[in-house]
This record gives sequence, structure tokens and C-alpha cells, in this order.
Amino acid sequence: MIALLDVALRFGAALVLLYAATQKLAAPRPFRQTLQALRVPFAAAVAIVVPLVEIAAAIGLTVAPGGSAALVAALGFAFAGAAVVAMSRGERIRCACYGSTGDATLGWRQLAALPLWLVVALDSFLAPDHAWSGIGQFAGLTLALAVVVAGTQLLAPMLRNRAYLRVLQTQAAGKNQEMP
Amino acid sequence: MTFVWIAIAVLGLLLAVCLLALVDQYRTLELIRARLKLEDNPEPIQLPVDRLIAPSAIGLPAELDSEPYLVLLFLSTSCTTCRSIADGLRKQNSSNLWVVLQQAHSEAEGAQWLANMGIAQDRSTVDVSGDVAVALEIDVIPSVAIYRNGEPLLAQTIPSFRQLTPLLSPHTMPRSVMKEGTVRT
Repeated sequence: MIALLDVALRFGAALVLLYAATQKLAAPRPFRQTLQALRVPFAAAVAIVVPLVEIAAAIGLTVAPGGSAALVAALGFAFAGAAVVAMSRGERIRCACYGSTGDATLGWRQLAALPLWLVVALDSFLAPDHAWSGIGQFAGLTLALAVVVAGTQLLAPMLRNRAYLRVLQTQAAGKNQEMP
Repeated sequence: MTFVWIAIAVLGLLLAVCLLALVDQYRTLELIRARLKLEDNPEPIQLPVDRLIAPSAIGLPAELDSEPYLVLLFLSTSCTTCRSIADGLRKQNSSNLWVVLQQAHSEAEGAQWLANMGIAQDRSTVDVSGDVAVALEIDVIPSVAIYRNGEPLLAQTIPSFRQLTPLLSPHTMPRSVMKEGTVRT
């Protein structure tokens, strides 16, 4: 039971981190703007480094859980720190935690998530025997992420676009018939 | 074997990033279409409520008043979308449909247009004077007005045949469309 909980916790956290990282890498601008709003120096470079660190933490959680605890905890503190900075300045700064999706602002959510990140870090550090960990599991996780993204985010706009293009095609066909 | 797993993991990550980038591109495209008002969305038309607008009262045959479900489709001889909608009707005609043709210079020109489009003349009216559209205060073509037993149910623009298809039958008419565009008298 504990082993199952450990796997669920680590893989759940790894999936969240991977999703956040790939979103930021796919559309880096919103996250860069968030960093600029937080007045983080070298925002453009940090906007690339943070998702890479998130990927490293996800790899750590799935491949070598014991060694990733510090990284996960550091990320949790960094997210909460960003929220504290935004709240202390009284500024509404867009989170961009998951790239361009969502309009949430930095604040209580990141603070509330900190204990969860610490629990994940503690689990990966303290759990005596991490079942089901290895590079194969991480590879499976990346493929699962790709499938989830394709099914939940890509399919709907792709079908809408296809329907829209069909309309354009019928209109273009009508226009061609109209021409002498 | 480890190398293979590493390769799969890297490819999986790249795939996820590419898919999300594609999602971002679609979102941007939809945003651009929305800003330029190029979306394929029908707009409700407010029908007049201060006077009688049954088919017979606006210059259409009186027998239309008793049709349980009537789709009054306004097309124009000069719009490209109208042609594509008329083309679509060739494949999916409906016994509930009545076409009101606008902007024809004469009855003969209108009849010719309808014949070219394969629209039955016994289920259409050439509105040379534009009185029918004026009576319903319809100034956007193509558009549609739907009646049930002579009572106006809703009116909306029809930017494409795709938007007309569900309205051709009372069984396929979406409830959401009825709610949004419904103007009951």
C-alpha cells in the first residue's frame, strides 16, 4: 500500500512537472513575461533554465528518487517565493506556471502547493525502497504525457480548424464556379 | 537497453513539446480569426415583435403559415457564401425549406439563378423588391428565419452550410441554438 502511494505520489508530481516544463518550452513567451514582471535578472535565460530543472526533477523522481528530493523542494520553494514576491508588491502577475494556458495569477495557490511539494520531496528522500523506478518508467511517462496532450488539448482545436477549413474550401469552390 | 529507453524518453519529451507548440499555434490562429471576425459562428437576428410576421403577412404564400416547421432561407444572387450554401442544398435538400432570393434585378434573373443552383422554384420566392427581408428586418444575407406553425421561432445569420445543416430539421436543431437566438412572439 505504501509502495503504491509512493509510486502515485512520485509519478503524479513528475507528470505535473513534465507538463509544466513542456508547456513552458513549447510557448516560452508567457513564462518569460512572468519572470520579467517579477524583475528576475536574465529572464530570457531563466525562462529556459526553469523548465529544464523541472524536467531534471521529473527524471529524478522517476529514475533516482532519493537524489531528487532537494531539487523538488527547491522548486516548491521557488514557486512559493515567486508568489510571496508578487503578493508583497501587491501586483497581479500572471502565473504562466503551465505556459500559455490559464489566466491564474501568482499567489495563494503556489503557497498552498508548497507543502505538497515538500511531501513529495520527503517521500522521495525517506521512502526506504522505491518500487517501479528507472529510465524505462520515465520514458513511459513522457509518452503518456504526449498521449494525454494529444487527446485533451490538441484534438478539439484540430477538429475545429478542420471544420473551418472545410467551410473555406466550399466557399472557394463556390467562388470558382462564379468566375466565368 | 538503457540507451533505447533514453532515446524513447527524449523523443517522448520532444513529441510532447511539439504537440503543445501545435496547440499554441491553433490557439493563436483562433485568436486571429476572432479578432478579424473570421469565425464561422452564426449571429442571432432580432425579429420584430411589434407586428405580425407570419409568412403570409410578409408576402409569402399563405400555405406556409400552416407548415409545422419552416426554414426560411435568405440567399442573394451576389454572395459567394450563398452559392456554397445552395451547393450544399443540392446534396441535402429539405422539405421544410423555403428559399427567399434577394438582390435579383428581375424575376427572370432570380429564377435563372435558382435553376442554376438546383433549387426548386415551387419552394422559393424571388424577392426583387426586398420586401420580405425588410419585413423581418433581416439585413445580413445569408441568414435564416425559422417558423413553427406560422410562429417565428428564431432568426440568425448563416455563415456556412455547416451552420444551416442542423436547422434543416426540427429533430436535428440544437437546443442551445434555440435558447441563444430564440425570439418568441
